Amino acid sequence: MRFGDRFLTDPDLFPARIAGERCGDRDITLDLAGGPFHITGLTARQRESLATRFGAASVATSFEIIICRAAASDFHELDTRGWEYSLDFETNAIAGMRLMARIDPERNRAAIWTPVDDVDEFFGIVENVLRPLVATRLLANGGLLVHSTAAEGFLFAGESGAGKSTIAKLAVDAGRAVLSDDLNAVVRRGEGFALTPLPFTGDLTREQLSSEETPLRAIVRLEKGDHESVRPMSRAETASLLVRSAPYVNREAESGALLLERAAEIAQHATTLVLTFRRDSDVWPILTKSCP
Amino acid sequence: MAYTHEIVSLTVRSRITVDPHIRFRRFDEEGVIVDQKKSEALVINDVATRLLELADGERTLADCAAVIAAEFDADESAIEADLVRFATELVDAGVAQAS
Repeated sequence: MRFGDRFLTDPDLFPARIAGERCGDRDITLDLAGGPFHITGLTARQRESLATRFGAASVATSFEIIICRAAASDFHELDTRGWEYSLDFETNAIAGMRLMARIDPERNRAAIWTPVDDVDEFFGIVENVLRPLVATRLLANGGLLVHSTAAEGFLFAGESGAGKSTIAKLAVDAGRAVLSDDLNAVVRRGEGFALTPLPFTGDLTREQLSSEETPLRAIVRLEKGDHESVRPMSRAETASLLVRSAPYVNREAESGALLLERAAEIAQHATTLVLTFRRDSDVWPILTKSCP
Repeated sequence: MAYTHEIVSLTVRSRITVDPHIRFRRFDEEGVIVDQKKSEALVINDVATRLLELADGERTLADCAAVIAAEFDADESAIEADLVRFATELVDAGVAQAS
């Protein structure tokens, strides 16, 4: 199957370069890890959608994203019932539902072509481009995007089904500050690393999440069990966990060496643990005892 | 579509090299292999890590076993058997190529 076949009525017409008719003349700055991102070419409704979801910032930006108009007829009408959404990726190109995007990493710019102007849908179009963009730029800038739950300096990484959502809910129920239950940014701070908030969430709502950056205390692999216990995790296991949990960049051949190096570096700067836990348990006493 | 799978049969006279798309790094007494075609990152033990460090397409598995047996003060024939088994798994998984 060719790139874009699933979504585009004519994949041969995928834009070859960053150019096109802007949707509007509004703009917004999103202060996210890997950015800040200046998004231009917005309609008023598109801007409202992004401001509501991500918040507007007033900071110097390092990357520009241009929103360009595309015809609805450029995209297939898809029946999404029971469908797990995924995007098509090619080097610096993304195709998705009502979405085409091209990224120019050397010139720090990208463009999104979409017919979507709906407040409740548009932020999702942009988020689908921001997620891989943040992953790539974080890796290039000394950090790492990790599929994880982060709470009070603990980074609970792992594949789907490992228990990240359960841990996030347990943390919220215990009054602990959760950054995200889906994707978290590990960023370099001085000699070490910190966990910084991203608006990419899973089951939790934004209102349930903390917006406070915290130093990275521990990287934790989750294991479901019938009791609570903690044991050390080796540096190799930790690096392997981080690589497996680094979305987008762990599929890009050119990122491989840097990804493994970054995972090793982060693993060296944190306590590394395997936590066995029950779904209804309070894991915090045993965690804080293992990593004061 | 017919499913075909080439059966890999290695001996101590075989040579292997790590596939160019694989990333590999030693961590203390373990190693990590990253296969980005599958988004996989596998942890391997000390002996397997040492094999990947020695596997240059020139040394046979027997040559590698002799080096490792000396370094680990272990029985060479036992190491040879381990290396043949592990090398076969690596080639089957597309991590290494045999010659």
